[in-house]
Amino acid sequence: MTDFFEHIDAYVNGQLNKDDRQNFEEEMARDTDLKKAVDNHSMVSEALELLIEEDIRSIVDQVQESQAKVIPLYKKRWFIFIAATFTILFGAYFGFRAYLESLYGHDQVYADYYEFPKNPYTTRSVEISSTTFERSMYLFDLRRFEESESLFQEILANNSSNDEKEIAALYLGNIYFLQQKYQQSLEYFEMTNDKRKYEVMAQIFYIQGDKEKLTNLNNVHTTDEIRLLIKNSNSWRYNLVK
Amino acid sequence: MDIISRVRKSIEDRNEVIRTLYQDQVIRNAVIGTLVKMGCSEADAKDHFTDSIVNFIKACYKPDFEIRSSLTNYLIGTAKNIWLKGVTKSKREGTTFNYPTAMTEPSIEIHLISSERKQLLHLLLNQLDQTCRKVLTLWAINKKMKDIATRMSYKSEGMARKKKHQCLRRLYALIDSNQQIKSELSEP
Repeated sequence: MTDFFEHIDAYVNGQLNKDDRQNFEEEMARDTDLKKAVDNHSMVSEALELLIEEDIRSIVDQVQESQAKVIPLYKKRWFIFIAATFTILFGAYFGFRAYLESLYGHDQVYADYYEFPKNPYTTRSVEISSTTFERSMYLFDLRRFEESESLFQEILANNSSNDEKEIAALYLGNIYFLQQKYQQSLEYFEMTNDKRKYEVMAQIFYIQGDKEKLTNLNNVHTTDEIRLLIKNSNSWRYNLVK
Repeated sequence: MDIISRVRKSIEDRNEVIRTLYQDQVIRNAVIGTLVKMGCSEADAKDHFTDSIVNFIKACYKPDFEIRSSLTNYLIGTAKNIWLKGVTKSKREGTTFNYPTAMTEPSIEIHLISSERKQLLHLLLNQLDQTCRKVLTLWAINKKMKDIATRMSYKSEGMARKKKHQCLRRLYALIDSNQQIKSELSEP
């Protein structure tokens, strides 16, 4: 045994054989430093344990630091910038689209093009109207569409004249157009030959974006309003939304 | 290779085990969740999760160490013991622990050094230079002289052995020359 300090641990833990143990104890008697080292062995062991522990903790600290440095994607500046740009562009596009849709929607078409059919019985009031037909027309003029609708339906169902039935169908077509029930409106317009139906049908096709039917309609019956609708349907804005 | 063998195999393998354990969300949630359910604060539970990993790695260096249950259960038990015994908390923080003994895991040994004793030991270790600290750390982890020589870029095993010897003697001398610290460390 050359370096007794190297064997302090083995001595303390009883791991030396008999001869080595004896040699060690003889050396301890001679060397006070060795004796002190044996006395302080437990503290040295604990200090070494602490060195091990801190070495391990340093690795954990590195892992913690690396986790802390990982910035979630949604917090990265470039990601935020791109996301914000896309959001603005999408918002602008859909906002613009919504604006255009309002230009070519029912309310705008109604405001720009629709005309109520003229009631020939203007001097009569509902109370003194003598026939269902007259009352239905006045109720329509008063914008009491539900009441006029039921009376017009009655006219179509009973033994009214063909002229009254044609007018009833025309008015029902108008009522359903105003209620934005376009399919029903077109069905009732099919039941009448009254030419006043064409402009409302054109407005329906225009709102629906059906340029083919609009063009075909123009070939059958043309008016300034229908030609204007066709012209407007050729604009890029109209085609963007329709 | 089982996890204990990997820790003992090399420092690199040990460090990888530490990273893997720390980043394992299942184990993490199990340990922290158990402590929180028992009344521990979440912040303390996270600290004790870290402590349980440190304790496990230290235990791996004991030659007769083995895990009888799953690693997760072992870490949960370790964290529980650390919390209940207040091992890593300073007594000066004013926390007293009257833990029911039955709640601890008797089979799990805690190898961590208490805060008070760490402070005292630091007073000694801070007087060692970084090279000595590193050499002694490697030697304490049971690294062979050849390995120490390679890691410390010494020319030979002999140089490593000589340096270790010098550093160890230095440490002994520091302890012996600091009677007050020695006296306080002598207290249980």
